[in-house]
Amino acid sequence: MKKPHILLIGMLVGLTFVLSACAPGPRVSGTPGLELSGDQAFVAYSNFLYALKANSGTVEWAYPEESKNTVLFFAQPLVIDENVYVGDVAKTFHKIDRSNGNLVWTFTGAKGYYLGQANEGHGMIFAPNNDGNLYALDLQGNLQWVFETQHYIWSQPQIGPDAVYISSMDKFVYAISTDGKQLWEREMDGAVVASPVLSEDAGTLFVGSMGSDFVALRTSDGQKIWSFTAEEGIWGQAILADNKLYFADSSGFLYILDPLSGAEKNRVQIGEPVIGGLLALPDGIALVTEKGNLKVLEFDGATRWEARISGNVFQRPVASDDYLMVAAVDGDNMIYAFDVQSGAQKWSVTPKK
Amino acid sequence: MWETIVIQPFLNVLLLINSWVGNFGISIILFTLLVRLITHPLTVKQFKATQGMQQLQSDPRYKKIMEKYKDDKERLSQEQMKLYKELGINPMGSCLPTLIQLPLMLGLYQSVVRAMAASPVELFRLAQSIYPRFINPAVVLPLQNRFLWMDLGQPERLTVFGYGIPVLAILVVITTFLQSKLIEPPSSNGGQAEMMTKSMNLYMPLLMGFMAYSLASGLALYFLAGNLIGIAQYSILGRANWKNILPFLKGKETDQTQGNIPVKVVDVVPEEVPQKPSHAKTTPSTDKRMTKPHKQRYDRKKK
Repeated sequence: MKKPHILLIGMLVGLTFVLSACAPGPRVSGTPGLELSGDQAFVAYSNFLYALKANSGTVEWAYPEESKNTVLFFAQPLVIDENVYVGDVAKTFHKIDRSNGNLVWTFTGAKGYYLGQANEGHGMIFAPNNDGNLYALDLQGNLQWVFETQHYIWSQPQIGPDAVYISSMDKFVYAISTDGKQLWEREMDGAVVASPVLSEDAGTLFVGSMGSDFVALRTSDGQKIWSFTAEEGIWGQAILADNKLYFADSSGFLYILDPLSGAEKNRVQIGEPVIGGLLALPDGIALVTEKGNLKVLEFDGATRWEARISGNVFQRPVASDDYLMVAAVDGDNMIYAFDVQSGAQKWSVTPKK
Repeated sequence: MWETIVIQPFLNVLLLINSWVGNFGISIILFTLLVRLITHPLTVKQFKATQGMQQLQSDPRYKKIMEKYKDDKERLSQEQMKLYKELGINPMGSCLPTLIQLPLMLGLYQSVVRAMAASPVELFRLAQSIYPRFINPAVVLPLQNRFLWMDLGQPERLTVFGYGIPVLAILVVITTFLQSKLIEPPSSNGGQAEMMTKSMNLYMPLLMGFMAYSLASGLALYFLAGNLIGIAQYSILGRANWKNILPFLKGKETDQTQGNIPVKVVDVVPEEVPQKPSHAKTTPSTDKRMTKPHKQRYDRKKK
């Protein structure tokens, strides 16, 4: 009589594991979060945050020391001075010493996953969360205030002289005072995955949405200065460079606009969706398509060099004076490093503890 | 292939419903109902086949064959097949509809999981699965993940006096148990199959409860909706054995049956009724079928 019982229990347990994808931990798929600072690259992926040597990809340290099933890192780390700030999907936000990977403090007051990159300003750390809240912490990790939106926040908050700007998947862009009060809100045509961009004088905020609209907003009151409609949804962050505004959409077009009027100066066909956004370089711009086509372009949109990466890319490239790096998922490797000038691949690695 | 044939159409129907009702929790319930309605003919077929097989077990010819050829497996299966043919029973009749329904249920589950995209990569893949002719991704995505007190993308807990109570998981355990009890056939011989069913009825609710406890509440809602719709389906088809969960019904029916015996028997053989013991197992219908010669033979045998 025992055998059928064991068989039955085995079958049911098997079914449970199949349905719950064999993981008792959180069920979320993410992509590596990559940041480059000086001679170190930081990669948040799966159970660890890794510090790599930028010149070789060698792992310097991994945090935490032991992996936990429930702790997964997918958010892009924020590196400020000697510390790395990153949140995980176990609802914990960590401050880590960049020199040795030791934990400085954690904040555990959030109710959802951390997937967006934090930012620092006004003596605070602003951490966006999937529970729809933006958490403002002091530099010791104490909660100062919480600002609530109606959906996930995947974008990085932008810091102005008197306000913090955040876009949410609830289709709104918000301006928040430094003590956590809402100054204004502006509805977009679709959910906003992309982080907003502040003009140099902090007078204009640029942001695009999944509803294909791209707008310039006056930071003082949120009024629309101009708007532009792209071919398809805008997922990635825009950049301001060479007195021009650049952004790409999921149809594979790169748009070059006049930031003052919104007039289209040029449109470049990239051919594949650009999800991760753009990066401004001293003498050009860099982008990577979702299918792994890395391009460095001149300011007029002409290709300087390009390289094909194995895997899918959902984050914009990061760069230092010497290196341009890309994080990919489902490819041969996770992190690819290129010479920023020539485009020669320097190394690629999948960090392991 | 699986993606194109099953998941994508399911997903698009789910999102289309969501674009009409504007609430993902209600969309999950309506979608589960829709899939159950579509697969209803298969469910009916399966019920009928199962019922046929259960009746066969108590057929005297079947019992006779089982007894006669218990040591000759080959002959036993030949004779069984003959009997199946004669009675018009397809022994696979209860399995085939289940086999067809299983992938649909799996597709339903996967499409609910896919729709609850909780990260940029998941949302991008969801957006790519949408038929843009029917649904505008910019309008529909991301889905509103709030339903009642729940965040459908997170495991559900209702906070009462500071304690997070997994209400949905508890409801899933109860309804899974009820559903399995309702379709449990009346106990027969206490054989291996019956023991398996009993074990299943015990473990399945616990495992479903564990999944509802640990997975996103959107899935727990889907489990709960599936269970409730299943119970309604069994009830409508007259297959719900309420006596298994409401024992007083059993008592009532027994009382009624016992009370009816004298009345019904009186109709057929009134003179014999008082001699019958009150606990007589012979049912009125058996007596009704007895002709006078039969009855005489029966009485002689008894003596």
